[in-house]
Amino acid sequence: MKLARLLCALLLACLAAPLAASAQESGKLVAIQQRKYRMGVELELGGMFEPIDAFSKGLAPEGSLTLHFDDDWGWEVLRGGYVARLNTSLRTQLERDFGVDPTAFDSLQYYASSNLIFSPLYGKFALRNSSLVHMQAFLSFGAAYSHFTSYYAAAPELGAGLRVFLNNTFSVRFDARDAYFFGLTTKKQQNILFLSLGLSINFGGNDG
Amino acid sequence: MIAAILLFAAAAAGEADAPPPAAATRQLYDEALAAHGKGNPRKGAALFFQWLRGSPRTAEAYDSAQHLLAEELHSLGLLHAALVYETTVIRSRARPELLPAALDRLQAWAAEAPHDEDRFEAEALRGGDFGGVEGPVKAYVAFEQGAADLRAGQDRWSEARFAELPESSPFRFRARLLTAAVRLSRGGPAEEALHELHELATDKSSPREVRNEARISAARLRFEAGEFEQALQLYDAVDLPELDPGRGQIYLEEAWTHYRAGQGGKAMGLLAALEAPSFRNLFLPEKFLLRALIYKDACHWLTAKRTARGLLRRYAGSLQAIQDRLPLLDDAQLAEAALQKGAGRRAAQLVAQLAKERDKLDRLASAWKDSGLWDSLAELYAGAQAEAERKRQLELERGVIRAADELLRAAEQVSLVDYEVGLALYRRARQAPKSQLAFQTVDPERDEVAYGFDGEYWNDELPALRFGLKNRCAEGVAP
Repeated sequence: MKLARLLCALLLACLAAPLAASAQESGKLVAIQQRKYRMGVELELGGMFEPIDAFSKGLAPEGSLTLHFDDDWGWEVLRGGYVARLNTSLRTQLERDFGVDPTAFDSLQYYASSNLIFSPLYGKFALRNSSLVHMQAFLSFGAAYSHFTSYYAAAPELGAGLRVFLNNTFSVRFDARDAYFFGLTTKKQQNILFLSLGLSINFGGNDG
Repeated sequence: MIAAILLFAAAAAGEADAPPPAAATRQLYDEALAAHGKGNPRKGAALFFQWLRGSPRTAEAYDSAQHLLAEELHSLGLLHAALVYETTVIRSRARPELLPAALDRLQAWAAEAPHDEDRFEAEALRGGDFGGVEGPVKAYVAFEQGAADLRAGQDRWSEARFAELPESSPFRFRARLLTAAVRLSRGGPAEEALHELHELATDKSSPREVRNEARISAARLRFEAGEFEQALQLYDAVDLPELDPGRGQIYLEEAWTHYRAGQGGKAMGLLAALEAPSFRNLFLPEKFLLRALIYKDACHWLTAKRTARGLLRRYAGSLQAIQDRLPLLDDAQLAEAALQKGAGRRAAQLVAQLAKERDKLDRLASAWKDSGLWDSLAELYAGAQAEAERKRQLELERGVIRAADELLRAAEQVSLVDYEVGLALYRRARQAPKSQLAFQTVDPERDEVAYGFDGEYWNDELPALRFGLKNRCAEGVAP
């Protein structure tokens, strides 16, 4: 028994010596770089696709203005678009074969929203080991206001997005947002998914 | 004797087997031109060579054929052979109208890959008179000639050559850099050189590589003068292309500068960068020494000792070979170190380049055997390879001695560090040492971003690595 204890003590001593040494050595190694891309005032121009309405799909020219307070937080002051509708075959069939009145389909016509933007993720990818692509992922939460065919509605809005930096001035931005609209003068409710893609122009930040 | 007879017999047999030259007819030349026009360099090269073999050197199209043959050979990756034919056109100057194009090619091709600079630039350009040449290549010729004069100590001639360079030409900036470096190496005033280097480093119209070289040279001068902060500003200003790993030697120099400036965290970060795959095999024994010094200064006694002894472990074989007076050339580490920088590196690169081209040539044997081109080029490459190997061997012999000296100096220094650590431990019992080094936190500032190191080296991050190390000098705990 004593021999076993002695062996255990020896083993522990042997293990502890390198551990102590490595603990002393264990400094933290970090690469600290100047952030290559920083946003200031962002003007975005692009398009929106609204995919989940079964009777028609929406396509809209869209624009937005965002103020970035720092690298993490920003306020999308205004985003808005005017929607063109593309009827699905289901709607055509309902109208043609079953005589459904076109006014029965309430669809999004134009909209505006305002959101807080939180961008916790910023990073880079190596493109074929020859260049770097910098990206930023963000979350948005705020409120939206819109006009459907026969009523006005307001909604809380939640979303997520991804930005690919082209240079200090231009970036490509993709947004996916969901808004659940409540009619202001009716009890109608509607869930709308906005898929937006646009080119952002950055003023301020480190574009100079 | 028997070997000599056999060689002679083999040579005689080779000559007997060689196909007789084809008649250098107009039709053959036209066929070669047609193959060239159709983008068939294999056929074109063989036909041009056949035509050249059957033609007198005084033939009107002789230089044109050589010029076209050089182009075909270059497109097949046979750079050395292409340069041989192109420089023949430049030297003979039988067709002056070909000269600008030939010089242009020499400039472009010489920049592509390692080549025999003594043979091509030196022989073709440096002695010749190219007064009639106009256009962009004029600056190239003037620079090469001026550089040769400067290196030979003919300052007045080099000044005259460099004066021909247009103000906006990249060669003018190169000439200024070269002049400053050569004068400094001759013991010229450092202040004057520093002024010129600073001007080059800050002139946005100078080429990037010139600006970077000027910054590095100026940083070295600042370091020697003990102006560490200014030196660091210059090192920081070195502008590398994205994902270019940079040069290990420069990182080590910068790490020393950070250490002297009291910035331990940055110095250790750069030493960590030297463990990246791009630099892992570089012969830099001083990195062990510097790391041990930093650990010692931060009172990490055990680690300092172990790091110092790491050098002795890593180069144990080479140190033993030096101690035992064994032939240094037989030591793999020293031999590798000898060919890692300067002339040794260039000589090794040339040997490798010629071997690569020779392999390409061998793959063309069946296509070119009948025309005699393969035999001719094989002989050309055999001679070039032998000469390149001779130069490599010379550089190797010089280089192993340099590497051995460097290793011995570093080994001596780490032994001293080892001793000092023991001494510091003894002193510490009575008085805690004070560290001069700062190990700043590794938290990013507002406009910075931090990427924690997880074992993957990103080339763009190498100069930005920081090491957060606790300064244990004030703790007063056991080592």
